[in-house]
Amino acid sequence: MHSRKSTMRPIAVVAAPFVALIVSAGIGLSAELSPQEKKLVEGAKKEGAVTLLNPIFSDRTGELLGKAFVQHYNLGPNFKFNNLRKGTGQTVAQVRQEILARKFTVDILLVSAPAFFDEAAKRGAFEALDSAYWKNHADLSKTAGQYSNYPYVVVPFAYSFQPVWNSACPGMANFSADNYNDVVKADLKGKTIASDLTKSITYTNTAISLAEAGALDLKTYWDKLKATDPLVEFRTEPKMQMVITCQRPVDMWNLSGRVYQNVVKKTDLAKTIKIGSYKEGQVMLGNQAAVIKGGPNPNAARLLIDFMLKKEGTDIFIEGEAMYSFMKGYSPPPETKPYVFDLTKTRLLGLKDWVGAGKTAAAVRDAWQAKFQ
Amino acid sequence: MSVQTIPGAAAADAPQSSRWRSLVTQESVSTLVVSVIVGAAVILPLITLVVSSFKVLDSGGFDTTWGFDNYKRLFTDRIIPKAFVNTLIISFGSTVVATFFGVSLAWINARTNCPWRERLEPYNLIPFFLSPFVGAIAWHNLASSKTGLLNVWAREYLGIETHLLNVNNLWGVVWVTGIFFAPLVYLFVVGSLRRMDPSLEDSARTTGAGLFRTTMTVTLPLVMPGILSGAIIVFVTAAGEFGVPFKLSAPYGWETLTTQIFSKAVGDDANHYLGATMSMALGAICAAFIYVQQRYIAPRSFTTVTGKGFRPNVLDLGPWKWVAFGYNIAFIMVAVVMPILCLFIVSLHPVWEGRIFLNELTTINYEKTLFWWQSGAIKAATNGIYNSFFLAFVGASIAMVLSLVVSHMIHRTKGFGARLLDFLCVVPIGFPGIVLAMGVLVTYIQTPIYATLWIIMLGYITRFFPYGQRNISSVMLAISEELDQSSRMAGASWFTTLRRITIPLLKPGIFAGWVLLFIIFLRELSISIILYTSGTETLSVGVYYLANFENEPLTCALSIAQTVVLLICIIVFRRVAGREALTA
Amino acid sequence: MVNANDNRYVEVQGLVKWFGNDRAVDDISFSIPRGKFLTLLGPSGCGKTTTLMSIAGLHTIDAGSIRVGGVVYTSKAEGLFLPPEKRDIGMVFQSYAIWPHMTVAQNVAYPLEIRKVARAEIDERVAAVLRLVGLADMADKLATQLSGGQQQRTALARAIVSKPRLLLFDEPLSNLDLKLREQMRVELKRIQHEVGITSIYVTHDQAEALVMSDEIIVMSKGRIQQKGGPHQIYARPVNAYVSNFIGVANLLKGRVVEVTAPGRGAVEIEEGGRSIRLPCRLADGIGPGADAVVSIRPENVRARRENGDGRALEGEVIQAIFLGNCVDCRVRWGEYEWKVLAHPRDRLREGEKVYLRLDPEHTLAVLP
Repeated sequence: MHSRKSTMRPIAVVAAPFVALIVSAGIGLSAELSPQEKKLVEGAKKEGAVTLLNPIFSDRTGELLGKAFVQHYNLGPNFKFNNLRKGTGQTVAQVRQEILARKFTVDILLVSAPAFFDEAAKRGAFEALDSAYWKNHADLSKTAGQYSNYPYVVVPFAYSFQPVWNSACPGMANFSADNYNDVVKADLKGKTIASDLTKSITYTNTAISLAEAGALDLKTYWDKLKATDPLVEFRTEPKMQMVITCQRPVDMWNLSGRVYQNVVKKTDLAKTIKIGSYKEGQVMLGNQAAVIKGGPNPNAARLLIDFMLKKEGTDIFIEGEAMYSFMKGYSPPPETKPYVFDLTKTRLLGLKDWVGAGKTAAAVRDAWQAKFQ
Repeated sequence: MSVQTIPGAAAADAPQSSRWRSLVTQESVSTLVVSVIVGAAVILPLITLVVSSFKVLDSGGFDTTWGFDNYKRLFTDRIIPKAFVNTLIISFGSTVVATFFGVSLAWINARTNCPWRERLEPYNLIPFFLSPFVGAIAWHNLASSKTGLLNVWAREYLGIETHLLNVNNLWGVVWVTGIFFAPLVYLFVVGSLRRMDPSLEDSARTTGAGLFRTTMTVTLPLVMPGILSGAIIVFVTAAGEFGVPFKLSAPYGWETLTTQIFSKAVGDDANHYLGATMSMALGAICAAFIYVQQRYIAPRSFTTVTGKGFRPNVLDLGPWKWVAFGYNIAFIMVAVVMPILCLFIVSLHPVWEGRIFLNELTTINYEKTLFWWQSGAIKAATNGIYNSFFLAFVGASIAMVLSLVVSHMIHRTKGFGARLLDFLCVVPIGFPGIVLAMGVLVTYIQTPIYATLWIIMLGYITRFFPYGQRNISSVMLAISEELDQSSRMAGASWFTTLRRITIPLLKPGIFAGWVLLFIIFLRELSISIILYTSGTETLSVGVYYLANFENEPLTCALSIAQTVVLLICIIVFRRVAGREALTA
Repeated sequence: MVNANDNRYVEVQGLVKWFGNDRAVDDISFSIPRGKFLTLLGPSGCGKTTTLMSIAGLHTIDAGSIRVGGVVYTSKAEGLFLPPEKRDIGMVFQSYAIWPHMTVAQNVAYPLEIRKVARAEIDERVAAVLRLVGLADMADKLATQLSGGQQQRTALARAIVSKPRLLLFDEPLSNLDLKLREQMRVELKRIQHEVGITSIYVTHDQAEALVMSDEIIVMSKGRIQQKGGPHQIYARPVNAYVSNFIGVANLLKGRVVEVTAPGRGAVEIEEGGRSIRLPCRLADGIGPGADAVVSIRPENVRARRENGDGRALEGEVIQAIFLGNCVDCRVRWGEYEWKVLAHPRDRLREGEKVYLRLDPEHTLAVLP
């Protein structure tokens, strides 16, 4: 005699695999997105746009990042991704102005400016983030002495100033640099570039960090640099151009990203433009990111932060700009590998007090200015 | 001999008097509206600047207190006093260069029998219409010490050791600014020379004075107001020039007030209150000079402007006329042809290393900056093209309408309002673009026009509409007031008179003003660079962006595109408006 | 159709106009009968143009009123102001103000177009008025192709084509050369008479005023000196100013010592220590003992080589300029220099002694 229980059993047996399939597929889908992300997607779709103000991402990177972002969260073909690129100072100035005027056209600020982020966070200018991915970056960024301020301010990537030179220029065939003395040798007279501390927080912070870590005695070092009759410039791209044209074949502080981008434009340069790293230590200049309270697209903005903290997002801008990510166990894409140093094998420097550095900055800048201007 | 009676005059069509008090006529409403607009546009940003200059930023970067610290810093800062000195050097230097070229070319063109001088004239004027910033980029690639084309060739073919020329210093700025503003002086002087009554010189000659003495004692003094006016305008414009020192001297250690204002406004140490203070200083100097020019020099224009065409004395140079011709050709070569060629050459290389690689020439830079439909295009550049055209068309039109009404008010109404308006119209000329832009930014940041094209347009119109207004005014002065009055007497309302009489007669001035503004808007940099955001980049901002974030060849490609557009405008302008249209 | 108002068709009352601290028009009142031609005559700065402009409505007034054909054009007291385009006035400007971007026909048609007259009628009336001023074959010429006289006529045609109630002329002939001026004076008067529109004409040229006007108002410093017909103004000036302004006059200061009949008497002149008694006519307002100025026209002074009855004035010819139909002489008499127009056949020479006789009928004592 068949009881109801016995009738159910064959049905259950047949149905089970399908159910398991469905359930596992379901788990597979949502395994991509954290619960926080899922909550944000609908809102982001409705907002339909996001504006990211930063000095780093080139047009190409911005486009790739935007496409991947939209695809990853299925935000629809009409979603507008605005990569607004301005100089470091300009980005900070614009956001400051907008905060003061309470008139917001920008969603995310992404720039290396710890003092500003700290002050703005104190004033409640930023949204509190709830990200499932920040914890992957928190440890290494702390070890590297970077400023962050979760839940308001995160650090998706960092760059670092490395020595760059052009081996095809006269007298440069055998040149190489892996420490700070190499780049101020006497025979480099007329071949060097002095990066203008007065125009950039990042150069200033690099100098402060090196001094703090005891890696450099700034006073004597500036003298040595001055003795090589350097040309003063602050923007990395023009300095890169000077290296490429042999106008000044050695730049002690340039970016892996710049070298990489120029090689992409003209592949021959891969043979001649070289980049190294400093034994004394590489100062990591973390770029902070925050979502501005009152911005036009808060959901999309938080979603973008998450995307940038995930592998999918990190891959894109690391490839585009050849920078450094503090994600645990992250390995950079092969195209950029030749230009970046291994984070695990290099001495990483930061600042004990990024915010307070603002006060010593003036003195450091003045000292530099007295020598070079 | 019939006496024509006026039928029913007293009855049917007897005009009715209206209340004296109801001054709401077409005329009074328009003039009130315009006064308010002009007043707001010009005065508000300046007031904001003045107020901001007394706010001192604290170390946190957000809060301010009231104080004079900013003004103190003008004197105590490391860089600012030097920047001030550099600005003065550049202004004086460019004035000398521009006056030298302007007067010599004007004299050759108006008073000698230099061959083909009519043909040469338009070319003499080209530098004025191009972007000095682009000129600086071109000269950087021509004559920077290591990679300048001229220096590379000098090293190769002349065996010169280091470099022949170095344009990356104050003298480079003086040179480039001087050449680009030479046409300003030229225009002032050539007009004076052409319109001078020859009997003034003839009467000197009949008393026995030779050519040289006549030139020194009669011609030159009569033309002196024109020369001085031109020189002062050059001085002030050079002081406010941003693009050239930004490219050529600031990166190499010589800052100017404008580059400092820029970095104080939006640089790393952004402190726009200090920027406002510096703007006050710069603006005050420029305004003082312009005041002197307007008040004391411009009215002393001794040449008679009549409808009768004078034929001024033309000097026969004999065989020296070929020297004059050569000199003029050399100027055009140096000022126009060489820089453009250089830009073109650089723009065809993927990466610029200082030498020409014929096998590497490519058009990819043009694709990246102009072909907005392609995926590899750089948005800041392609946005620039559309935005600049829009701003130029719409902006020039609005500015000319404004100029028309303002000129009409100044010249056709009497009283305090007219004089106030005249003064308001000169004020913007005295303030450099970057100064005005700061004021506009801080004033309008809380309004809906912030971060749109409209705030940039507001900046443009405020800064440049005096140019349009001056063009119209000069034509309006030549038109007797009675032409308007007779239309009123014939029964036409104020508006109909404007439409049927005033505007048609002003057409040459209106058109000349429009094209001038169109060209100025198209190449503008200082205002755009303060007020732009993603999507509202202009052509010059695009060039700046490329220079900052990309490389020389891309920068040169967009520069060539801008130059080509401007050249086309010049041709159209000359074709339609004729030779005299440009004389300010 | 003549009605009572037509005698005072244009009525100006108590007109005052200030320019800054200057009273350009200082309490002027006059009226003009319909169809008549009035000239405002005076030197520059006398207020005549300002008065004209006030009537036109191109200036506002500070006191008084202006009425034309019963319509109030402006009245300060009542706070009324009719804008110029509504006043139905034809105006001819000193510079003619012909619009250079239009043809003659277009210029003349303009007032009719404004009044929205039908196209066919416009063409007809324009043709008619161009015939009237003698420009029928110039209709399609541009203003820049016209001579001064032709522009003049175009301006006139444009002013009358709409048959306005009033015509205003602001020194329209002053830019023409002499011959043309003399010709145009007569032309203008003829045309005005033919169309019969009330006209006000402003000029500083007294010859023009005398030729063209039905009535003349002589103005000085914002005030009316005298109003009257040409003959009256010339022959019977009321004061020294008018005497001197119209034509040439000898003016001597003195005092009325006798009144023999209404308007007749004698004036005593002090000259070089002696007193001379001149019998003369007396202008209005001159009573016994009053200060007066004696006015004698040069053509009314007879110069003879003999003294006659001994009462002639003895003097010396210091200037004798032959003008063709007369000799313009200056005769010194004590401190005073007489202006005398002599007949050529008298052959007066410089240095001669002559005796001057005056005719009491043509010796006029006027207000100083």
